[in-house]
Amino acid sequence: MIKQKKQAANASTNLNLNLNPKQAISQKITSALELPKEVVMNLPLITLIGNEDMTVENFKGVLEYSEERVRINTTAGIVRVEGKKLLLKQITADNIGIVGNIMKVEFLV
Amino acid sequence: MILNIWQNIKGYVVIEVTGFSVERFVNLAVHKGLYIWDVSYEGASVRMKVTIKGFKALKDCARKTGCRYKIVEKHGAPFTMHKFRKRKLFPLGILAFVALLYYLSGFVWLVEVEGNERLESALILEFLGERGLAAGERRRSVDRQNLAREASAYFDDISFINIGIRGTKATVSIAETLPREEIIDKSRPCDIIARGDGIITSVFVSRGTPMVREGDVVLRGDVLVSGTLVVGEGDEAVIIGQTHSIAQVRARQYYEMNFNISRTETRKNFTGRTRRSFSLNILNKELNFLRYSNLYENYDRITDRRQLGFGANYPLPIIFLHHTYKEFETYEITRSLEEMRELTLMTITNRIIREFDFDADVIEKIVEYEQINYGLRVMATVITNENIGEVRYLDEVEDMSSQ
Repeated sequence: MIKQKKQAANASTNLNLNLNPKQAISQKITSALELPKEVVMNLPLITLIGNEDMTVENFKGVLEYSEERVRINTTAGIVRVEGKKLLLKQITADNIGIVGNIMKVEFLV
Repeated sequence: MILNIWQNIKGYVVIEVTGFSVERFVNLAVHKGLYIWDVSYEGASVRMKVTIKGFKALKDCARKTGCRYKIVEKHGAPFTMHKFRKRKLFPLGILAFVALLYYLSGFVWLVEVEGNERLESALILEFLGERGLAAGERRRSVDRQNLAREASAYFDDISFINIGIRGTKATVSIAETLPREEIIDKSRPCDIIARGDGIITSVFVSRGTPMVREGDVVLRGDVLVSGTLVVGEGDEAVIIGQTHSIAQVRARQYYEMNFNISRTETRKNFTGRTRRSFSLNILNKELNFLRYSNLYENYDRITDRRQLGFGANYPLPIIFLHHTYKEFETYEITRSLEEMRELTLMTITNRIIREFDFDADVIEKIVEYEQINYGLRVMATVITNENIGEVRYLDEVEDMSSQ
């Protein structure tokens, strides 16, 4: 009974924030201490400059790359960028820069 | 930008990757810690740039992901060096360049004087130049402390001097002494004499024997106040001593000014058309790149100098000169009689301000004009009331008479 309740509670938090219990705790601690989330929870930090320059820090890998579409795997799900003449300006172990005519940024969870 | 330069020095290759999953290939390479940049899509293949070091690690990635890659372009210093490996003189040239630069930086190429107000820079530079501090001298051979000592001994107006050499520029910092007040030796007997002709208007004597009174006409050199003290008159006069005369003697003095004012004057009118040229001054030799064969008939040349060098401290003996030629046309203006008169009065006033003593009071200006064929002949007389006295030491007079 109790277990079920707990599971239900977990399920609700999972549903709301899409997090597992461990992440939920760290989420609470981070927001309480006002720590940068991208550091503590390893979330991607996405910077957009206009519609032509995008930087994703803390990314996990490139799933797809073509001139019209780039898909990047991150801890917050897959980030899909659509546009024209997209170019990967730089790739390092945790940082990826996309330039081009960006038209759409989507999270696929 | 800076990263670009660094990559160019280290060298990089542009590769073209083909295969089923180029993304996996990139991920794997990135996971290994390689830096990949400028990834672009070329239809069938993907083009990207990697460092030379990273390129060697790609073999493994390609095998695991089943991709193929080939080098399209090579960039950077290592490849350039490889290309020039058979040109033996090339590194020698670079070496010679560096050596020459090093050799030339051992000289002083610019001497600057700062902090001087009364003393002229040219004088100081000439003095230092004669003693081995000038453009083109070896930096090492300059004995700075000795030079500074000599300079401060030679110039009375220098209270402090420091010669600093930074890079190829020598900076001479000077602090001048305060302007020295004239010391009057009141124990030295003197007369006061007239320094010009005039009519005495007032005599105030605080020491000495007055020889003139108000209304007297004096000529240049006349004794106004005598420093010889006399008691008694006529044959009974006895000289009891000599003193340093102090007196304020003012007199009405006449000055004549004769000059001509012309009716016409040529003036410039800039047309707004300009031309530019450049030249280099290397080791005081001028090199012209561009010389106009038919420049304007009348022009003013404005030259802008810029000494080349590395920063402010390493000037080189190369001066970049930028000339601007401004064309002008000449035209003549003709003055009316009224305008010529105005100009006359202005000229007289300017001369009074420039040439006369500060304490001179102008009493009257008598201006006579005479029309001549090209303008006006002006004969002006300016009457002033001013100090006429001048000190003459008695021992100097005796020296002159004994010679």
